[in-house]
Amino acid sequence: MNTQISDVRSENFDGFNVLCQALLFGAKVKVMPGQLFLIEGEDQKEKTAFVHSVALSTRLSTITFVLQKRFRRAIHQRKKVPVPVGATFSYFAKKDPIKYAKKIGYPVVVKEVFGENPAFAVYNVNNPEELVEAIAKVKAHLPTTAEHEPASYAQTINLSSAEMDEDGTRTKSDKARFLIEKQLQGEHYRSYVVNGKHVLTLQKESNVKYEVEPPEKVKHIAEQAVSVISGLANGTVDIVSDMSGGTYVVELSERFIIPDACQNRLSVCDKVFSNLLLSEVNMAGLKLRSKKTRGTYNFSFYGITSSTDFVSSLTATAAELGAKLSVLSIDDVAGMVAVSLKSEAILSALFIEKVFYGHHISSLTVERKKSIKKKFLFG
Amino acid sequence: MLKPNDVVEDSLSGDKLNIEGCELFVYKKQKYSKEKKLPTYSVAINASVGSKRVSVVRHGYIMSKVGRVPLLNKNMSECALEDFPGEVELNSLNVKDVRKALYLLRDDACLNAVNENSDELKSSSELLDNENDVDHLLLMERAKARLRPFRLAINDLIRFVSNETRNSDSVEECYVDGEQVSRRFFLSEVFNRIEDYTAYPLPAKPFIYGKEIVEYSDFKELKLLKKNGTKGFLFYYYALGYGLSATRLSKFSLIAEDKHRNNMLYSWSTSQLSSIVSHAFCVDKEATRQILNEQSLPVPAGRAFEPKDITSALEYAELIGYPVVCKPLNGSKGEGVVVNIKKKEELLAAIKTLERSVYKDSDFIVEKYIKGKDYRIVVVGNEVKGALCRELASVTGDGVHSTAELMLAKHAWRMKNPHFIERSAFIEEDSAFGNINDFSVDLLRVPELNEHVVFGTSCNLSQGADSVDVLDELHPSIKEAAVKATEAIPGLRYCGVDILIEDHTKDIASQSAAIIELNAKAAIGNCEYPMFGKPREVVKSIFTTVAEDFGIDIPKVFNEGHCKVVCEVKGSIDKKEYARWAYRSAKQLGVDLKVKELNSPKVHIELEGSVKVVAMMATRLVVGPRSSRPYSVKTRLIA
Repeated sequence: MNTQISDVRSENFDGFNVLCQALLFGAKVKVMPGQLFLIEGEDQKEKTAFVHSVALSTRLSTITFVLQKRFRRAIHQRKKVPVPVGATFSYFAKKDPIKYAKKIGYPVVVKEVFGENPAFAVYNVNNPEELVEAIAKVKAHLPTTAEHEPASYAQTINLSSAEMDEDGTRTKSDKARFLIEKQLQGEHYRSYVVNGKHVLTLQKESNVKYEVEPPEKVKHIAEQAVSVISGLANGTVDIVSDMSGGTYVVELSERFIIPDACQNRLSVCDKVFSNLLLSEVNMAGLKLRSKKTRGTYNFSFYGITSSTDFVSSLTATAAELGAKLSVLSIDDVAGMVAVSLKSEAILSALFIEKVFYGHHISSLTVERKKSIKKKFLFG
Repeated sequence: MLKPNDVVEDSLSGDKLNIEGCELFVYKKQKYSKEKKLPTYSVAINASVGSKRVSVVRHGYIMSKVGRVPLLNKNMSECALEDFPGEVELNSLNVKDVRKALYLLRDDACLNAVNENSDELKSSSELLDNENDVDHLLLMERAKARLRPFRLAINDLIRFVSNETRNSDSVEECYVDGEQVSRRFFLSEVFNRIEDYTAYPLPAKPFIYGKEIVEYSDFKELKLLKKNGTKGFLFYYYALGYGLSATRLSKFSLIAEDKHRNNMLYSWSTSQLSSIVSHAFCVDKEATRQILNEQSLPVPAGRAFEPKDITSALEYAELIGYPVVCKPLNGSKGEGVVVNIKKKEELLAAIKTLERSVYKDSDFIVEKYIKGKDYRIVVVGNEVKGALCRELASVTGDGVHSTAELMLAKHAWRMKNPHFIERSAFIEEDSAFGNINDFSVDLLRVPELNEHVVFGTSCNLSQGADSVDVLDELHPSIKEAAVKATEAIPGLRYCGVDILIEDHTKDIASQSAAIIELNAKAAIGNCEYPMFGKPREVVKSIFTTVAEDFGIDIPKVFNEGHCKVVCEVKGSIDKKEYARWAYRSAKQLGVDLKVKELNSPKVHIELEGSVKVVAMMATRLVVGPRSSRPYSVKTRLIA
């Protein structure tokens, strides 16, 4: 199972976990390209939705203030959430960044002010030569574009740090800026906050990350870092407690970023993402079914261009996962294929991830088949 | 006072000179070439002498690094032309010599251009802020160079008036760079290169279906906010009018805060009203279609295809039947959309065009073409707050002017709409104004009186379409459909619903109709500043609905009157220069300004005036002069 989870692309890992939780709780999910999930309850009246792990409660304009590091730092400073000293510069500035790094003292970290999530950064910059090199690296880095599906979220958040010129070459925008921040030494924490409340913290020690019960101050600052930004209820907060006892927010993301080293730890993922799903579901007033790790899932795929090839591919993917697939119906004119899969919820989520990766699909509706109650049979 | 239509007695000929107006043509960017030197802008002065009409045109060839006319030359020419002939008492001159009178008028116009652009001119001329004679003379010399085409055009006019060049046989003459050509020839030569056009005074007001174009009294002030300025300013205006403090972290971002320190975040036209997830649904047109279809809302039959899936797309078009529409799955602003495709070859051509565009890797949609006019219905919360009919770019004939002249007149008026500040309809590659080669429009033909000549192919406002407010006439069933469509997308509370309908006054069920797109980031300026019809306060609705949703304490009554605020400006600021710039900007807007502290790391500025102009000034403070980079401007009401 762990090997198969590693097949999930890291940029999709958070969305994969949201989907997995929705399947565990027997929700009816409409899956669309770009990890867009529409989740319906049994009565279909109430709905909630996610894009990757970004929930419905996260507001549109809020994202700019989370991703734009100068804005985020300004809000945190105004609301007394501690952040490391730092300043932003234009890529045209040559002397000022060096002067500034000298003023705040090395080591420093150089980050994009606005970029893909999490933004590209160069750590452990220890002298002016390394600083010049780091700035050049950050300048050369361009937001990636998804190859296999429309990057609807990337478009949604409008990654404007890159521009395309007339001959199609992508370059950094002239208006793009970078941030120089003091790199703090100390205890490194990553906290997950759901609906303004701390749910789990990982601590990093010699490249190993493990779940810890963090100091109250870390919990409090993590919750504050999210709550002070209007329209943000959930997020991942990176915190450093330095040698002098100061605790600082060094990163904030509206997505739930699970470190690669922890992606196989089901307990971590389960705790973070079940809290997220249940919180959003409650907010929407939606009722879920009982949590079951295994079941029969009915899938209806829409927008299929070659149904025969598609069904063969589905069968092969199911076999690869060790699950049993049955074809329910095929409609070539409408481009619709319906199948069922008897498997664990996590395998069904993996199945969806793999199928969306390899095919062009407009949408998929997936739902756990209801079991016939014995009471009814014998009643 | 001599006005553009006033008459000058010409002692040289005994005729009367009437300076009817001036024009400024700005051309698209070009690459530097030694062989072919194309103008970057042209200045035209149109006059009549007795029964003769003359148009003198002079080209300017100076080019900036990016291949356009330098901004300073453009701005100075605008100022000179706007005030030509300017504020001169003709009688007090006591001269009958037109030559002398024109030189005086010219010098006045030039002086005004210098005064309006003195900072930029000094900075570009590397002159200090000295008042000595040497510097002043040098400044005037530089100004003359910047205004060379204008000055040469006046010389041409003088030559014409003094009979040096006048051809006695023709009633209408045109001179381009001193050579006599027909005005139509000049227009046909330059039309496809036009990027922007201005006329002084503005030509007769264009109208559409009997509605006259709307003139906005605050345009001159709003123009100072530059491109996209209205977006940021409007939210600022409502924040101050509702007594909130407001912090601006950039030209586009605003934090409005109540007395309990609860805040609302705004970025460009986006607010907290909608969820980020709803926007992800809306940018995926296929997802939108499916969700609306499930709600039994009218959507055109269609589906998405991968770029390599051309054969399937062609087969699908046959299945749903032509005519069809082809568009990129994740496109915006109407880019790459081809409508009314009637046959396989046309569809193939549309797909191939996408392959050559920025959408080459994007999936594309083929859907049934629905006959009908294009409407943008704006929903805030669960109410329709604005409705526009977006008419294809067109002109209405007057039986006198050519299509090209009518188009230029329309453009000049369009550019007086605050929503289009610095957004020329000629700029966009596929804009109807700038790319009419593909369509059978005879630019030089004179359309008959009231003849409606349509030259646009897209109903997108960015591509030259006209916006006509129709909210009052909108049928309730259409409003209901728009609200239902917005509610179908989870988390969507502000939406521009694009819908095709045959007649907006009739029941949606009784006609052909289809919702074609939902826009979570719909522009806020188009309903606030429609080209035709009644302006709607959409931004006010957004602002008050967000406040209600997020428990922000705002008073029931909005203050449109007077206010006094203190602005705390932080950043990398050249304080002396910043203060000078602030005083000048405030003067332009008619705001009382006092710089309170210059010695602390922050600059404190007090502003007093109407809420509107104070909000405009506060918006400008975060931009600042070129020498400063303000990081934030916090504005607090003090009275």
